[in-house]
Amino acid sequence: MKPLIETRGLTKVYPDGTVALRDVSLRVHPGEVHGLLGENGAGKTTLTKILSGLLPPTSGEIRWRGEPVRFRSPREALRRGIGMVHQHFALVGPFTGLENIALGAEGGGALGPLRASTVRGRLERIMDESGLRAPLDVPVETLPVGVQQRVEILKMLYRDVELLILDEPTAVLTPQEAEELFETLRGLKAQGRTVIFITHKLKEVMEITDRITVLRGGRVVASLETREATPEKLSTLMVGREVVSEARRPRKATEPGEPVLTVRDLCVRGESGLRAVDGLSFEVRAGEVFAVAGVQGNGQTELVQALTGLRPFQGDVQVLGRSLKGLLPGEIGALGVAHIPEDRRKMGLILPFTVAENSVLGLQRFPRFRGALGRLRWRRIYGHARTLIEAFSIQAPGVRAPAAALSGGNQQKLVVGRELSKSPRLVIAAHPTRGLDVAATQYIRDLLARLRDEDVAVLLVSADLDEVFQLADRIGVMYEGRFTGIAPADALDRETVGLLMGGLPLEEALRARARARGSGEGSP
Amino acid sequence: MSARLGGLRVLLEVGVALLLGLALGAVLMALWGYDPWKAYQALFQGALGDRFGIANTLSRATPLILTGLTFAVGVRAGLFNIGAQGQMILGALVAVLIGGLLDLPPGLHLPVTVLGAMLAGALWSLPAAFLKLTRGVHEVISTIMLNWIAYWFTGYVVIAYLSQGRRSLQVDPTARFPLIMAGSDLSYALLLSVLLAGLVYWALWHHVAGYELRAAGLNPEAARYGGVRPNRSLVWAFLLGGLAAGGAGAVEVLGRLPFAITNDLSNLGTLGFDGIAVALVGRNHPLGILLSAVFFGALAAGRTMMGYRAGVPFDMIQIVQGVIILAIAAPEMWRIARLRPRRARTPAAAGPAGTGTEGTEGGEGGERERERRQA
Amino acid sequence: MRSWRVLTLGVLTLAGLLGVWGLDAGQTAVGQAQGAICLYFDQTGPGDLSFNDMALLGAQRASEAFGLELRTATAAGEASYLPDLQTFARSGECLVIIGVGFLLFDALPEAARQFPDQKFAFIDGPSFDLPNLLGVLFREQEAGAPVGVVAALVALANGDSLIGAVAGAEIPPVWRYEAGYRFGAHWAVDWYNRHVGEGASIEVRVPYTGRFDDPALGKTTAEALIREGARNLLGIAGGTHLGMFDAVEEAARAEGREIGPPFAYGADAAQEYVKPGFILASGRKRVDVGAFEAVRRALSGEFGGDILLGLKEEGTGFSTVQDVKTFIDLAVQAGYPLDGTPAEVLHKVIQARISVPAYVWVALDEFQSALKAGEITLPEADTPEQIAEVRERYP
Repeated sequence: MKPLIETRGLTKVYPDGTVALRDVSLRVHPGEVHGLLGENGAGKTTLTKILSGLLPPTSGEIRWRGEPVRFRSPREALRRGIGMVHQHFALVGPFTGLENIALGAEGGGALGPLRASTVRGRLERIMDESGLRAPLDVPVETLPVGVQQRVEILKMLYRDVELLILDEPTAVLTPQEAEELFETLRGLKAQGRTVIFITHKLKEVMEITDRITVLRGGRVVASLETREATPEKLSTLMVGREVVSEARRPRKATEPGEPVLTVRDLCVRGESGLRAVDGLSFEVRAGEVFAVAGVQGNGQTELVQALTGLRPFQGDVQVLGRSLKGLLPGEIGALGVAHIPEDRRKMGLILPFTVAENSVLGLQRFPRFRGALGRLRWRRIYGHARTLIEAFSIQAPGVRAPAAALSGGNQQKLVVGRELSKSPRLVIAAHPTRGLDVAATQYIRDLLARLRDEDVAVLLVSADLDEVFQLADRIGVMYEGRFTGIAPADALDRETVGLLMGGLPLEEALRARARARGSGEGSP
Repeated sequence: MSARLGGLRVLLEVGVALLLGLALGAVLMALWGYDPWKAYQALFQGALGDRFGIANTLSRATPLILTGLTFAVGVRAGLFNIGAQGQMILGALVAVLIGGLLDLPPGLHLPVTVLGAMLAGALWSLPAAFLKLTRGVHEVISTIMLNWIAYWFTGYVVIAYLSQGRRSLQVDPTARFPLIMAGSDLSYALLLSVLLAGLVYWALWHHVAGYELRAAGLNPEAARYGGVRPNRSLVWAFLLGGLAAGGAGAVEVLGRLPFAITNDLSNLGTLGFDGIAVALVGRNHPLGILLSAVFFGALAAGRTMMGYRAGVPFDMIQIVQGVIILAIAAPEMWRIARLRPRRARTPAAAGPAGTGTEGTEGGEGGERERERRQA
Repeated sequence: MRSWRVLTLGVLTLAGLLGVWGLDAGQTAVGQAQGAICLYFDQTGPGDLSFNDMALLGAQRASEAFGLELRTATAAGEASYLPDLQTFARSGECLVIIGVGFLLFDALPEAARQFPDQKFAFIDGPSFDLPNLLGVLFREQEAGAPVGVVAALVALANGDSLIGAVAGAEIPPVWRYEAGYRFGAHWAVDWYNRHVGEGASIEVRVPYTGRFDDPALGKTTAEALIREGARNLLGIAGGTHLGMFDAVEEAARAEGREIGPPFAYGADAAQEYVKPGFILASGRKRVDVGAFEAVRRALSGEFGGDILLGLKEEGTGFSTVQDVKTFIDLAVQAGYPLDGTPAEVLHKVIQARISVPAYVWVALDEFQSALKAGEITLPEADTPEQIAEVRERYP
């Protein structure tokens, strides 16, 4: 069968040198639901952005119905019949569904006003054909997320797309809404339309797709029929079997001490109002690294925000016996909690501020740096910044240089150094090495290991399994706001964690692993 | 960001912009048949030609420093606070009330009047802060409306209760700023402005609240992470700005003729709005504002002389000066526009549940890289 | 913050250099001109085709007549009044500094006090008993009253019972205009009831815009008056009432007329040429006479005190066709775009005067003779209390 869309040798290098895609060849046949599976950073989003005209490829080609094409904008891709529904919808809240769908649609002509009755007539037909229904005369902001998504899909259908790309469409949906979405997709398939479905959830990919392409590290590692796939196989493909590049950090001899962080029945609502963290309980003890693994977007961000005072929560959280309920970030910091945030540019640093100013962000009210009447003790602040530069070998043009002038690794070292200068009892590190080069990564992981040895409690949130296995004493895997399993790191391997990340409960995952291991050993 | 541009760079930028503006103004004047050389000579002579010219320049700069501070503090906190006009007007009203109606001993009358005016300005900034914090009303909208309320309220009070001919009653001599130089109207109000500029500088760069205010202005998310309460910083910015703007009203009423408010408030002019331009040219830095206000003061002081000596009609003078000011304010305006938090280019990139970050991480890094190289 | 120190130093140096340069320029300038006529406008400035332009006209005439240089400047704002006046006085180049506009009320006497050897004149304001300050005042009542007579009679002839005026700020010269206008209107009603009809009455509505330089505001104010039924409108708001002329013309044209009603009435200058056919007449306040007189007195020994210009001194009055002709000529000289050739404009102005009942002019004659003969006393309006009383008596 001739593919509807095909890429050959697609490579994408970002201006800063990051290689997001390497030689990706993808074939999507007409009338299929094609799953695009992969971990964070695997290149799924980059690939779909290229397909939908948002990004140009560095090299390689795209063929649409066998004919090479080049899209300079999403509009061009749309004209060919390729439409993308983003995770965050491109809807105008106060407009009705009808208005949103008509907005920017072609057919009205430059001069002739688009007539509502014409749009409505066509839409009714489309809704009848596809079985996809949405209220057209209500402001979309008043609709539930799932219905808004339907409006988005209708918008694409109205534009006659043949290929619909859905980026993590279930991330914002309730299970019921997700089920309805699957119904819709089946309906579209029956109409002969083609869908690319991006996800990291094994269950979904097994349920809805016909074929699956697995990406890892910017490469296609497999492309297979769904009926030939099993969750174990997919998970293995997703996380890879590469030899762990670095050995696990030597564990401390002594046992972990008393609990520093105790979390009971924590519930946190996310940006969308849905429960992003749904009843978590765990503790982190002095001298222990507790790693929260999981595909990003399963509540880790909200968990960290709740623990650091950036987001309200329900449940009980205590640090060294003190409840964090209602405390502000500064007050939690003063309790001896350091926070290495997941985004150093957006949160960890104020880029236009100098290195010195950044070196006391969060410490500005500590008596060390604040004199009488709230005066800043600049001499000490500069001294502090110089100490950090020295101690953490930060490459900086000077303490008066803006943080923006530092490279990513040095920015992160500045953040880490600053947080550790609080002499914390608990360090919450979210994706501490994301986007860093090998040396900086190494440096920061060593640092976290050293902290653990110094009896500090470390909560590591990471999507990087290498990192998790190198550092963790215990691992909790988060999936949709809950732990699918908590276990000592020694009791788990990468494949099991992969299954847990895909939503399988611990028992099942362990059983599946045992089965796989058995068959794997038996086959040769 | 702007504070950290090198001094020489700023000087160069301002110098080039000034020359461009002057050149453009000269071309305009030449086109309409006026002698630009003579006109600029008259301008400089009127503004800086002798000690009286300099006194005039400084005197005109005095209130501009204060309203400039109002806007600058707002920008530093991430606000576009254009409420200086209304706060200045109310400050002037309170200055007339205390200065004209209250009988206080000579040494006390002036400071009490000034303080009262400043507090009135600060008080009038609070509704905007309140509306922003509780209802999310953008400060541009609320301050514009508050400006009008202040304008008509003051006009009403002046005409209905304080009117003496075409102006309100005058403030007592005990409440007036003494002159620094006889034969000019340069008064010790200048001292107040300079002191307040110094205070604002100290507050922003040497006080923890100022540190937090700037942090909140540049990156509210990071500020919150760093233990800052952005709401509190915001209120500080409004209050500090209001104090300065109220002071501007006091300076205008207690510092020069008619020592009152005219029925149509015309002697208060548009000092509040002029402060925006002063702050922009001064790169929203208190010290820069001192210089910038002197520059604006010089333009105002030299304006009359352009007509008197070079025969340039008033409208042409305004056009030429407008061109010069625009040229100088343009670079900073551009920077502020770019500082506004940019929306992520694609919805997915902003996602908290973000496979979206995988692509944009590299993309934004590249963009920043470019910015850095430009800077 | 070292960078700022560098910057400060740089700018101060620059300022110093410019200062030295400016000083040189100033010194060379002093030698050139001795005894100029220095005309200083408040921020409304010339271009109003009325008050300010007439002051300029008078000063120009004096400049030609006495061979003196004429210097003009317009204030940038209220704050610059005193420093500007100080600068002029200090330059020693001015025979007399003529302040044009009542807004200089505080600054002029202050400057006169500070520079007792410099002669100042105050158009529209008093002398404050200063020997070196000449107050040039007008009996605006005598300009407003005849217009009130004509406006009221034209209104009654057209079946209206409301006339109006668009006023500037609440200051004595405008009050006096208003007072005269109200008095004249009520005098006309009596005359009408005696000679033409019976039981007629007129109401006079005078909204104050607070401004002399806002034509847009003048236009909207006039439009409101016209909607209320006032179809004879006097402008006593300087530049502001230029907008009133537009409003009246538009209203007349909307009714398909090339000549009013509705009619506008100008002030100070003979403004008929601005909208020929739609401006019936003007109250004359000869600011030019005042400015000329100020220069003349500065040259002769007799300076100081107040001069009061009224009907008798030809300082105030009702515009004649000859006046209109004079101002048409002036407008042509100034390059003001006329609505047709000068002859056409004049013809249309006369057409308008002919279009109203002849008895209007009979009544006007009667009124002006009586006024000159002292048989009629116009009400005073120098204080808020006085104008309030006038408004009550002549509603």
